[in-house]
Amino acid sequence: MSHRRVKGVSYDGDYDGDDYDDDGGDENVISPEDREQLRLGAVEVRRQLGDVAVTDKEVLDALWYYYFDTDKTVSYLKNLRKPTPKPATKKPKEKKETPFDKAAAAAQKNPVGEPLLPKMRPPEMRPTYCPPETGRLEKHRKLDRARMTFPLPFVNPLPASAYFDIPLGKVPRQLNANLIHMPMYPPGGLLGGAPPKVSKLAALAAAKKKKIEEEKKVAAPAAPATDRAIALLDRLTLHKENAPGSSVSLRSVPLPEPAVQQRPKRASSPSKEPAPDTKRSKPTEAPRAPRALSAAPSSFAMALFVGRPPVPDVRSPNQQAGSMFSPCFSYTSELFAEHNPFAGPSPDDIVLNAQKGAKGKATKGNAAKQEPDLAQGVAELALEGSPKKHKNLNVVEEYKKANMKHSASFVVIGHVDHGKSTLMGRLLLELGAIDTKAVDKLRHQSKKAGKASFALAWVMDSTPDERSRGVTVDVATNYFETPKTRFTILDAPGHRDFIPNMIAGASQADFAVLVVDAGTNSFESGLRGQTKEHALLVRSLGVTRLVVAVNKMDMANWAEERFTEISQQLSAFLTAAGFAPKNVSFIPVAGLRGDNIAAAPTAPEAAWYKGPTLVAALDAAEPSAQALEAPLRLTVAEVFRQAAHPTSIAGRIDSGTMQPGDALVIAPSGATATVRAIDIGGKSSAWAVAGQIAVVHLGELEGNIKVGDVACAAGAVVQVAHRFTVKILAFEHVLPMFVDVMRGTAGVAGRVAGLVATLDKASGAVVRKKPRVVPPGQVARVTVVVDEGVPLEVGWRVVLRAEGQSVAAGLVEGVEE
Amino acid sequence: MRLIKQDIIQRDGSGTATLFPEEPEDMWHAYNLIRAGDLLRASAVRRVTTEGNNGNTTSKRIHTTLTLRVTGTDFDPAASQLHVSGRVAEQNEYAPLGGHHTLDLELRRQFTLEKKDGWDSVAIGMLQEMVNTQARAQVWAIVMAEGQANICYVTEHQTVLHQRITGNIPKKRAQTGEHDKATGKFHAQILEALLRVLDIASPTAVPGDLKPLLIASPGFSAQNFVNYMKSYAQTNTHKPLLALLPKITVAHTSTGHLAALSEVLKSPEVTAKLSNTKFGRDAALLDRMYESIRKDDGKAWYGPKEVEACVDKGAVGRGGGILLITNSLFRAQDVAERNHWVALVDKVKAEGGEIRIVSSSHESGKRLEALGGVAALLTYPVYEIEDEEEEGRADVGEVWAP
Repeated sequence: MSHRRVKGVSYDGDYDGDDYDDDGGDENVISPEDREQLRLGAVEVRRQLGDVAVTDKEVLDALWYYYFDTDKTVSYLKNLRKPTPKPATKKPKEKKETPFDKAAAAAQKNPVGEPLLPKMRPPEMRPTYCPPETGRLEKHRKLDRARMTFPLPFVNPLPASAYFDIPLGKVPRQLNANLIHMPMYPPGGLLGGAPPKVSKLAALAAAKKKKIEEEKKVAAPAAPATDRAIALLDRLTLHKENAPGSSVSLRSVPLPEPAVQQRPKRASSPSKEPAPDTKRSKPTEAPRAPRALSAAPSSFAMALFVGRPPVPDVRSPNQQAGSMFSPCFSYTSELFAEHNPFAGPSPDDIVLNAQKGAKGKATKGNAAKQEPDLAQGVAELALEGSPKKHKNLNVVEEYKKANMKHSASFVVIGHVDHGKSTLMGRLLLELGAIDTKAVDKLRHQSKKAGKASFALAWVMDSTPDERSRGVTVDVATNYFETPKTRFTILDAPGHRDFIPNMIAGASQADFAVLVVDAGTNSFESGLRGQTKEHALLVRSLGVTRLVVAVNKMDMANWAEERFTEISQQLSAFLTAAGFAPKNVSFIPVAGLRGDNIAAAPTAPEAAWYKGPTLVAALDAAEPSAQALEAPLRLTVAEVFRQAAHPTSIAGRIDSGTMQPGDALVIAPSGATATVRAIDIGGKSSAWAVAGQIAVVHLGELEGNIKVGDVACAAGAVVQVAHRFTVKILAFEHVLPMFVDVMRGTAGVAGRVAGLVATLDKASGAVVRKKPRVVPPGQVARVTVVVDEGVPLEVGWRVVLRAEGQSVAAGLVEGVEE
Repeated sequence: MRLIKQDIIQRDGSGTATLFPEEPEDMWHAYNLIRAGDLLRASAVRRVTTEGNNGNTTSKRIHTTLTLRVTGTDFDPAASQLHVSGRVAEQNEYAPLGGHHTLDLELRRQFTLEKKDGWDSVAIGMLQEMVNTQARAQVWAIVMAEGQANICYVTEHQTVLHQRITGNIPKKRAQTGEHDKATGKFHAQILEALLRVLDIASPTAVPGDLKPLLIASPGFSAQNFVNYMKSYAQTNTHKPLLALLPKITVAHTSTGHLAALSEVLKSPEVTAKLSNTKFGRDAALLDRMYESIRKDDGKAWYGPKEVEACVDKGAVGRGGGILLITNSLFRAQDVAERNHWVALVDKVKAEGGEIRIVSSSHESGKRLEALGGVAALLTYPVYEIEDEEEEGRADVGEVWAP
C-alpha cells in the first residue's frame, strides 16, 4: 500500500484513510448469517473429511477463506494433512487478496523449498515486499510477517559463479534452457478465455502425420512381444539420453516424495488440464512432475504462471543455471529424442497430435482391429503417466468390457389427455425413481390449484404453463432402472400443436409406448387424432417396436371385451402402418391408480388378465445394434447451462463414441468445442456410445449451438444440405408446396421443389415420372429445398409437415450442398 | 399512388402516365410497373464535378430532372426503396446523353413513365389497381413460436418482414428457472423490437393511427406474449402500448415460420376483422385449388405447361374459370417471356375468365410460385394432359424468383 498511499495523498489527503478503514471494518465483522453459514459449512466439511484430523479453527479459517465453498475447503484441508503435517497454517483472511499476495502465500506453503532459499540467495540480495498495511491487516497481526515477505519480480538469485562456463555467444546446446510453461489451469487468454484454436489446416496436417506414423507402426513386422520389449528399451534409452541434458537432467534427480504431493490440486483435478497430448504420454514423461525451481519464483512470475507451488531443488549450481526458467518454460525438453531441439516434433505438432488423438478414435478403432497387440501398446502408451484429461480410451472396447445393463430409451406417445404423463409419473413412483415425498408435495400443490388428478402428471410437466393448462408442451426426460435395463423416458406432448416436439422426442427413442384411453369415445376420437398420427410418425422415424398401454382401464371397469376390442382395432391399424404384429404388445393399465404397472392389478374385475405388467413389457426390449464404429453424430436436443459448466448439450448419440477431451465440430454452424465431461442417465461417465442419450458438458466453445444441430467428431463432419432428394411415404397430398422439414430435433422451413417420380411401394421401381400430385399412401421421390442448411446424411429420416399436419415422411437419398 | 396525368392510347398502348407516389407501398407498385427499356422521367440528385481554371475540381450535388432509359430496377422491401438505373436519354447541362445514372424514386415526387413496347393489358391493369385509393387493409402481424418470432407488416399487396427474433429457450429441466427466465427475456426482446418497428411511442406518432396487430403462434406462445405485453403496459403505464392492446388479435398457426402467415390470414378470427381483403381472397382461392387437386376432380391444374394446355382447351373461361398468376412472372427480364404471359392473360380475359394477379410478396404468392407461378381453376374437368415430351416440364422449383 505504501506507494499507493503516497499517490493517494498527493491527490487527496482524505483518500486512503476513509477508503481502507471502511473496507477493513466491514471485512472483520462476521455477520450472524455468515456465522450460521460457517457453522453449517463446518459440519459439512467435517462430514466430508471423515477421519482426517484437523482443528476446528483450521476448518473455520479455511471455510472463511474459501468463502463457504466446502469442496475447496475439504480439498485444502486434506492437502494440508497429507504431506508432512504442518503447524496449523493460518490462512490469511483477507478476501481482497492481490495476485501477489496469493503467489506469496503459495510460495510460503512449500516446506521443503523454504530452507533451501537462504542457501541460494544471500539475504541481502532479497529485497522484500511488504503487503499493504490496511486496517484489516492490522487485526491480523498474528500473521507471520516473515510469511508475507517474498522476492520482488525477478532478481537473479545466482552467484556470478553460476555462469562461469557459459560463453556469451553460441551457448552449447546442453546449456540451453528449455522453457516449459505448465499451466495449472487450462491455458486461457488474457482474460481467461478459451485457448487459441488450431486451424483446420493444421489439424489436417497433424492428422496426416499421425496416420503415416501409424502406418509405419503397422508395417513393422516385429513380433508383438519383442515389439513391446523394444518399446520398453526405447523408453529406457530415451530416458538415458535425456538424462545428461541441461534442463532435462533435472529428471535424473530423485525427488522427495512430498514434493509430488505438494501439488495435489493437479492430481485431484485432472479435468482442469488442457488438451490431451499423446506424445506426452510416452514413458519418458514419467519424471516430469519433479521439474524444479532453482529459486522460488518471483511473485510476478507466480502471478503470470498461475501458481504452481515451487518444487524443491537439490541440484548443483551448474544444473540450476541451465534450468532457471524450467518451471515456467520447460516445455518440449522431455519430448526430444535427441538434444537437437528441432529433431523432434515442434510444440505445435505436439498440440496438433494431441488434438488429433482426441478425435482419432475411429483410426484407433481400426488399428485395434488390425493388430490387437499394437493397439494394446498404444493404449499403454496412452494411459501411462498421462495426467491429461483425454484418456484415449478405446471406447468400443470399454463398452464391450463394461458389459453394462441394457439401456433403452422410449418415447411415450398418444392422443392428448390419454394419460401419458400421469402414467409415466406413476411408473417413476412405483419404481422408486422419485420419492413419495416429492409426489406428496405435488399432490398438495395440484390440489391447491384445483387439479388434484394432475399430481402425477406434474412429475413430468414442470413448467408453469404446462401445469396451469394441464397439457404437456415439451418433451420431458426422466430416468429409471429395472433390474435388467436402464430406461430413459421421453414423455412427448399429445397436443397436435406440439407435434414438432414429439418428433424431436421420438427421434431419440429406441421404441415407443403408445398410450390409449380405454374410455368410450376417447379411444375413438384419439384414433382419428394423434393416436394415429403419432403411431405413423414414430414408425416413419424408424421405431419398429411398440408397447400399447391401454390406459384408464379402471374407468372401463377392467372390461375384457373393451380391451380386446381396442387391441383388435389398433393392431389392424398398426399392421397397416408397417408394424410387425410380433413387435406390438398390448398391456391394460390404470395410470392414475397404478394398476398393472409394476405389479399385477389388484382389482377383482381384472382377474381375467394374466399377461405381463407394463414394466415387464418394457423390459422385454431387445437392445438394438448400434453403429459404434461410425463417426460421431449427436443430434442436439437441448442446450442449457448448468452450474459449473458454461454450455451443456443433451441428445442422443446416433452413431460413434465420445469421451472427455474429444474435439467436436457442430454442424451446420461450424462451431467447435471440446468435451469436458459426459453425464449419462444423470451420472457422470467416462465415455458414451451410440444409442445413449448423453448430457455433454462442453468447454472451449467457439460459436453458437442451437437445438437441432449435429455435434460431430472433428475431421468427420456431417454434410450440410440445402437441397436433397428424399423417398417419401405420403400421408397427405403432396405437391410442390411449403413444408417444415423436421430432422431429428431440428425444424426448418423449406419447400418441396419437385416431384421426381412415384415409386412402387414394394419394389421401389418408378411408376410415373413427374407426377402432378402424390396422393396419400403413395411412395414417391421428391426433391426438397430448405431455406437454411440442414445437417443431413443419406439414410437419415425426415418428416415433412405443412399447416399443422404431417404431410409425408421419408429417407434421405441424396444430399446437395 | 395518384395518377396525375395520362395520355395512353388504348389501341396501341403508346403514351405516358405521370404518377405521384404517396406511401411506401407505392414503391412496390412502381417496381412491378417499371421494366428495363422503359423511359422514366423523374427527379434525381446528380453529382456534378467541375474543373476550375487552375485544375482544381469541385463537386456539387445538383437536384435535376432526368429522363432515363431504364436498364434495371432494384427493390428493397424492408425500406420500401426503389433504385432505378438507366442511361440518360435526354441530355441536360448536368448529364450527357448516354451517361449512366441510378436514381431513387422518392415519395411525394412525381415521375413519368413511358413503356417501351406500349402499355399492355397487364400494365394497364396494374396501373388501375395501384391508383385505386379505396381504404386498404393494413395490419401488423407477429408469427411466433417458442424461441422465434417474425414481426411483419401486411398490406394489400405485400408482406414485409421487419424483424426476425430468435432466442434460445432451454427445455424444461427440474429445479431450474432457466426456462422461465429465458422466456421472459425473449418476450422482452420481441416487445422491444415491436415498439421500435411500430414506432408508437415516438412523439411523431399519430395517436389515432394505430393499425391492428395480429399475434399468431402454435400452442400458447402468442397468448403468453400478449399477457406479457399487458402486464408490461400496466406496470410501466406505457400509454401507447395500452392503446394498442385492444387492437390485438390472437390467432393460431401450426408453426412459427413466416409461411404460416397465410394460415392466419384466412382464419376466421382474422377474416372477421379484415373482411374481404385481396390477400384473404387470394389465399382462399389457392386453398380451393389445393382442395380440388386433392379431390383429383380434374378441375384444377398448376404449372406453366398444364395451365396453357387448359387455356387452349378453353377450360379457363366464362362461368368460374380463374387464372391465378404471380406478378413475378411479369417482372421477367426476358421480354418474350413477359409477352407470353401477357398473351395468356389476354386470352383468358377474352374468354371471360377471371384473372387474379397474386402478389409474389405475399405468402399466397409464394405458394403459387412454388407451383410454378401459375395455376388455374377450370370450368369443366380436364383429366389428362398429354405430355408431348416426357422430360419437357422443367422442375417447377426453378421458376422460383426472389
